[in-house]
Amino acid sequence: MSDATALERVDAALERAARLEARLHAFLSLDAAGARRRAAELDAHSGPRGALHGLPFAVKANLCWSGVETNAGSALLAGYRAPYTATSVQRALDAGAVALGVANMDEFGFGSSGENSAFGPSRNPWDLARTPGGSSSGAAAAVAAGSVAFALGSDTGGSVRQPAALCGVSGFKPSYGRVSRYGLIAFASSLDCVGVLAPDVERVASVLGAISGADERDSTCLPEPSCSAPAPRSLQGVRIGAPREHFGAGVDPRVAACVRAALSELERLGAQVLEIDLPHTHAAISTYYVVASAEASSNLARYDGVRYGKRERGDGSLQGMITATRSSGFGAEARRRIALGSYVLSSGYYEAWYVQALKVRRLIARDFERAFERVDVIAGPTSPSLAFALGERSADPLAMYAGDALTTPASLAGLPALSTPCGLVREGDSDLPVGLQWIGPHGADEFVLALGAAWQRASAHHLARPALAQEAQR
Amino acid sequence: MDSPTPSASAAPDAAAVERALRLARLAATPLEGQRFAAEFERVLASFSELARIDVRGVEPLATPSARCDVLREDVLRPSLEREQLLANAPQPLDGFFGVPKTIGGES
Amino acid sequence: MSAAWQVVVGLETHCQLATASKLFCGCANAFGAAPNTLVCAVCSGQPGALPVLNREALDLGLRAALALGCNVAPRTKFDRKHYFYCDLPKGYQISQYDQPFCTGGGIALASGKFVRLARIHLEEDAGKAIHDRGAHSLVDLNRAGVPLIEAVTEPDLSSAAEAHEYLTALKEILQFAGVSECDMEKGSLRCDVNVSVQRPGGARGTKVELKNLNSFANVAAALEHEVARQIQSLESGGEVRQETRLFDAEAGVTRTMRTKEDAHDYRYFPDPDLPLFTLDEAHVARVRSYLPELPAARRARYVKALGLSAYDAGVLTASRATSDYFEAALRHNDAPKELANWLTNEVAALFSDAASGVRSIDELPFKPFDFAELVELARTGRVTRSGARTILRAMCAQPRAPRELMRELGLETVADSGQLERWCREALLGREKIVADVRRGEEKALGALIGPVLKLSGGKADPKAVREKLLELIRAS
Repeated sequence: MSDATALERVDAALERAARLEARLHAFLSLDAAGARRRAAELDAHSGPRGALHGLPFAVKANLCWSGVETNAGSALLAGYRAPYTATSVQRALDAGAVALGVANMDEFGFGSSGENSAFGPSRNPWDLARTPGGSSSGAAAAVAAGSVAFALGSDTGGSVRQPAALCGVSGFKPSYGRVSRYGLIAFASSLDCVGVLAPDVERVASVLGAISGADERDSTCLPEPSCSAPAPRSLQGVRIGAPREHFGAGVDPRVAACVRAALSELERLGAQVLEIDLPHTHAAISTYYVVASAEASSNLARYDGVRYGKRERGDGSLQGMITATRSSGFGAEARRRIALGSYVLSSGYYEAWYVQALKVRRLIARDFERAFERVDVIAGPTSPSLAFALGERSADPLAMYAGDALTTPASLAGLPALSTPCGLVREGDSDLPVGLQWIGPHGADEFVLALGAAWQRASAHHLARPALAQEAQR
Repeated sequence: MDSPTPSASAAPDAAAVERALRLARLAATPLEGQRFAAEFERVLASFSELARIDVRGVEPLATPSARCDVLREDVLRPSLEREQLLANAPQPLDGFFGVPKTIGGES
Repeated sequence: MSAAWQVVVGLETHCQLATASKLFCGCANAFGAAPNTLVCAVCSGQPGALPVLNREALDLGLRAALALGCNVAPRTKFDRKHYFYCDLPKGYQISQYDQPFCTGGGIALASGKFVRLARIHLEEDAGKAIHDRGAHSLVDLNRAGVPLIEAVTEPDLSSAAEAHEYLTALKEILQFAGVSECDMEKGSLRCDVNVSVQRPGGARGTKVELKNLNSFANVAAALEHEVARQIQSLESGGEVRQETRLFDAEAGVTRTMRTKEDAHDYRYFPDPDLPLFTLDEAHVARVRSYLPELPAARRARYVKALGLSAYDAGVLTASRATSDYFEAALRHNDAPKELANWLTNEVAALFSDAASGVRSIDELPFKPFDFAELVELARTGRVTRSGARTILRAMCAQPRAPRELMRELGLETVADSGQLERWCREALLGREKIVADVRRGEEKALGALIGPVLKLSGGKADPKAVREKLLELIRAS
């Protein structure tokens, strides 16, 4: 494949993506003409090649891509063509990658199953009756199906890591601020991170190298240079903390067992596994939903039908138009989160809810700081459950939220976290992937990726592909 | 342990929920409204564990960003072409964004 | 009736900062451009766009704080203030809530009363909604994101006159400090008023907010009306409702805009898109060193060191431009009184005369150097005052050296004593009564002779020289 021209790769990817689309619904749109044109340009260009030369990739629908419909999975933004390109997308393009299309997602990132997309859910390549996870649903499905070489996603409370785990691919949420948020349609500004999904950690690292680094358009972007490719290292002597709370109640025993087995493999490779405590883990979901919803209610206040997006007339007044536009334009989960956010920020509730949650957030961050005094990295399951059936949780928000229990802590603390495949569990007729989550100290992005890459060099879990991907290969 | 924030553990009253919806410019049909409120209360009730956590002496953590003093110089950058700015507008009118007639003043 | 009532007024004044670009993006901060042409992804609130603070805006804010004697906070942050309106692109305004960049300070009134400032904070302006064109309201976002400071007083003011004086002083200071143009017509200065009335020593009255005040005169007028309305309501056994009222300048009344029941819940919270800002002492000292001499100090210096009247000093410092022009001219002609006299009279007269083509000091086409020379020509009698006035007008049309224009227009006073004598003798013919009066010591009678001589000279005779020559001739005869 490496001898293929960019155009050959892109054509193959387009053909596969289009053929699988009816089954996966990974994409909201494919830009075949643009992608082929770009690939031809790359082939014609004789200068030095970018780090991502000719790699076809998918762009999550909440990353602005100039001139292309960037709707964030929302009916309210149907038809919205961004007037500019997100820094992360631009940097991937500048490194020679070819954007194939826009990946499906839960509306504005609100969800863990893809079912909150206004344009219908994506499906899991391992079992089409199941969710690929969310909110980067299409991104994970497209990578797992082999349609793209990587995908840019976003992770606010697990939206890259959880679908990566459920689809059996590698997914990385960088340290907060490591990748510019400019052009990432905001969900919760203090939690949002642009992340990467790819078939293996090495690919993730090379993409991160291309898209990370300082950006003068994002005041929260770290001034550090872009991430360098992690030098190959061994796992010898690495102290891995396994949080007791990440294997406890609420975690599917089959998932826990699969991850425990992976930790044993890591021990055999020279790592030292230590039991640790992250005592405030139980409060992560509540904290996360209060903080993230507060910020979401604010970030989504701009959708008022004045400057862009769908407009509903309402009673004919300005405020009536705004209310009608928002009430019919947002899906149920978006409305729930906006209402929750407005509630916790409103006078009389602000201290008791919002400020209280921020204080607990600090306790959660402190748990990590204390743990990193004893261990180099923390590892456990990414998702407490296997990919669940579409429809299984969609009527019960609390059941859906519970799936974020193990990913939200690192988000609240702003830490780099990686999900790598660590085995399959047989359920019914399907083999379903399990993800191992690696959490590192703030800023230790390269280190976390180096450990993941070291493990993938010594193991084969990440090579498992769904039958659908193999069929498409033929 | 004394709860430092008694109101967070109290059940949300319907009026407060209604007020939050109004503030956010969200409306629901009466039927939807009831179901929505019930579900909302259930969600809030499950989050009320937060009020029972001892946070005495703990500073709020609003963001994991440790950056400060990020400033840009006072130099001009190109604005958008007006056509591009208005291309997504539901009602462009003579170079403006058209909206339903409203008399001055917010809200 | 109002003697029995105490009036309590607080002002909230918004001033646009004189930056080149907007507060959080690189669009131009300019007035009068075609609608929606100074707008980008950031200031139009496009999804995914992010704010980055303008360094100059923060420094101008600091400059205002220092000019007004405020305490600068060691660190400051920005918060989001939420409400829905068509001119507010993000559904929230980036403002400062509980950690403004400065607190305290204030302005001393002529009476000696000190009007305390509670705080000044930085925030972004909203866009502009136009309601009087056609069947729809129209939104222009050129103004959205323009940097503002909001200066909030304590309720220290007790009359419309005091409010007017405070605003005038605030405007002067901010203009002098180069913080803001403070042009109410362009909307770069805007003011909201809080007013209540109470019995002396009695409980605080209910506060009413007045909005839509687009001139200092309107602020004063609205206050007068509102105070009268509140007193009348209370004296007739009614009460004052807590509400926001709009001033209708044409009708001269205030009307309810919204009552407390629908007061806002702005749901402030720290903006996670912006970091903390530290205002360290070294930086504050640097900004302080750039601060120009402020109007009060300048006025005092004009009176004390230059010997000007308090009135002239006040007129000269009413705007930074006039004061700067005066100082520049002073460098070329050390005659402060004459310069002041000419600036406050003859030059000021140009601005109210459409024929001059000059409407303000900024539009004067000639340099302070030339102005200084003109004043010098008049002072030394090379040209009469009326001749100098003619030259001044000519300088507006063609900015050339006054000396050249004087010659070209033949306005140089005639220094030739023989010619002067001939004109004087001609004027004395048949004026025996005046001559007799003057001889008796009534020199003021001379006035009736000077006019005719000047007329005979065609304005080229210097009145002072004419007077001396006439006296000489009368005494010698």
